[in-house]
Amino acid sequence: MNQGTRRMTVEEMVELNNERRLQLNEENRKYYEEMLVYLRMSPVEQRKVEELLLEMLDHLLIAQREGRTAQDVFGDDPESYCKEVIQTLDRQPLFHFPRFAFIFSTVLYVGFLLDALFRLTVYPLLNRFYGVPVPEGFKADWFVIAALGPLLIEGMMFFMRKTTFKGIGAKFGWILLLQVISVGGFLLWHLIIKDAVPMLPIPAWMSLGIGAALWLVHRLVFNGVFKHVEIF
Amino acid sequence: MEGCILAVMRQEEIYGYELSVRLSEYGLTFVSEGSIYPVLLRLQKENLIVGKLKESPSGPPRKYYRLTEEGHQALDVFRREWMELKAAVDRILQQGEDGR
Repeated sequence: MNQGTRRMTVEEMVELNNERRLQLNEENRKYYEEMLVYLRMSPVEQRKVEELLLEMLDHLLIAQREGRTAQDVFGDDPESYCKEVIQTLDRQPLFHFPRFAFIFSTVLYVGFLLDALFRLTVYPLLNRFYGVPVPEGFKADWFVIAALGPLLIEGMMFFMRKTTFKGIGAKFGWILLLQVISVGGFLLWHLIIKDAVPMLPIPAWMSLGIGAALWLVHRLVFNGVFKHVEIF
Repeated sequence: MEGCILAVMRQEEIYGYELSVRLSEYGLTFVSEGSIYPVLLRLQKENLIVGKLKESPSGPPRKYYRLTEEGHQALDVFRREWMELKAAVDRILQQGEDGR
């Protein structure tokens, strides 16, 4: 099919960007890639971001051939520039439905499959050598993680944005804060919430069956029926 | 700046870099090159222009922009308002000259 009449997919745009970006010199690439990370880590429609990134890259490559730098083209304050761009593009709602459904079902089928895998292989070994008891069901906390998935991903994206355009000191500070929050969250979960979460009393092979079925449905929905819905 | 971009697009389908060159050819050099992109996004959001990524005759796929029906109307409004403003400013300046 002629590419001129066909709409490029997001994957094709990312690939084209990867190829063309190699033509940037070191200084321009550093500047451009910071913008790229910032924009890709922002909660806006991915297709619009990739289109814009290609446009900006095209512009920068031509400018570079004419002896101008990224700073000449996009200014001294790329962070403000990117913020302006993001404000203009519509922010996607945190629980934008297709994305929520995609993350929710992914976490759940991975959860069931991992549960089956652990209860069928790792736990029996641990039990045999160290006397660790094999869990008798599926921990329902996977449902909570699945439901909070978009929030967790958006949180990660927030931290990724915060570490771009920054000096090494500020980067380190944000990463440290992320570590503190992660460890704090884990401890809170482990010491307080964990025991309050119920266990679904199902055998491991049933977890395996449910996981496989969910995976199949997920594939059918997102690669088949709703193939053309923009998820991210 | 919005009005000028609309006016350039009325003449031809154009992509980002070409647009910035055209604007500076017309003497709008105070516009930093990159600042056209937020404006282009805003104009698309307001449905005054549409952009379409397509194969370009010389080089990689590029996003070409053109005016929508609403864009044509907005350009007419801009032109009228600009003419009125220009006439008013001319009169004020003229009076300043005469009064000296």
